[in-house]
Amino acid sequence: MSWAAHELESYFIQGHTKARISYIAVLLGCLLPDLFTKLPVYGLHIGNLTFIKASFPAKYHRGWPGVGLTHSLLFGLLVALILLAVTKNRAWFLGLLIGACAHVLTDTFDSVGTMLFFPFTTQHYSTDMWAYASQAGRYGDAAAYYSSLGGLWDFFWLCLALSGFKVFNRDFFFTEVVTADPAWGWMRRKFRMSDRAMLAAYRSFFIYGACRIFAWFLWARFLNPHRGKQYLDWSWGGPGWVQKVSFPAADWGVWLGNTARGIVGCTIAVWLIWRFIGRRLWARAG
Amino acid sequence: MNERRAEFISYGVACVILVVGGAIFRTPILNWINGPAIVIATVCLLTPWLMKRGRGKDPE
Repeated sequence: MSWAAHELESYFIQGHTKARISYIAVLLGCLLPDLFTKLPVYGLHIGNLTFIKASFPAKYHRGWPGVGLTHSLLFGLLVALILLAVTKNRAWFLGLLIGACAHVLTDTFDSVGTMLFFPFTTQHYSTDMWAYASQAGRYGDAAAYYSSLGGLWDFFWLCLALSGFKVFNRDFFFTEVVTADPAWGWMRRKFRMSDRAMLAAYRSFFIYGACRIFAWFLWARFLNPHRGKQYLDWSWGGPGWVQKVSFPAADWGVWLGNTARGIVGCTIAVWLIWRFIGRRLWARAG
Repeated sequence: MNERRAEFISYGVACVILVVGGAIFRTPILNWINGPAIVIATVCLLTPWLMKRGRGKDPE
């Protein structure tokens, strides 16, 4: 999983998408796959007791059976269509769809990866760049992530977000972001938000995402009590000191068969959904 | 002190709180509700205070 990339990718998308999209929807889309599913990955800790913790966090989070379906391309499309039906707003539909797909694709870089073409195949797609280690608990996972290429991956996303620096400008916010999304006007009226508060709310996830990288890195490398054993390892698939979880295919033949079935199934499903539902909702929306 | 400068300092303070506080306290600060809330609260509270303080010291 990516610890800060999901907060930062929303700004990169906002800065590099030509279509009119809602920033809030992009952010929601980027957070959507983990929004209601993350708690059991690490469990809820009260004192020495742990509640609602998944017995096999990787399987629960990314696999099937589990909530791994939230990390599939079709899930993003279905939620975006529900949003299009409810809000009748194309900017929200596009924003959520792009954001959710970005999250799913970003998560393919760890060792567990995501079931991109679920439900047509439960094949996990992964580049194995760093070790998925949520079974080590929140702090064990943080130490593993920021001792591996995962930390560099977050930094790469920080650079990408900064590459479209205009998105953080006051003028860009009030002329592009606010005008593309009626939710900002609603928030201003409902909560009596000043221009400063709205701008701070817009920029807040970038500041939070960027600071999160440095704060967790500082903790993992300088404050972590196990930092001696949990050394920095920027090898592919590292760090070597953590037990890595992955769900690889039995062989390349199986992988190719699953992928072909997934691509064909997803293409047909998307075409049918768009033909009979999406097109009408899109035409009805403004 | 003008508004832009006061805002810039406020964002800087928010960054320091998140990085230093986050490294020490971790999850209570570094979560997707409290983290952004700290940024918004810092900017909205500190900017007017800095501007007011700047005006107070202005000899004119």
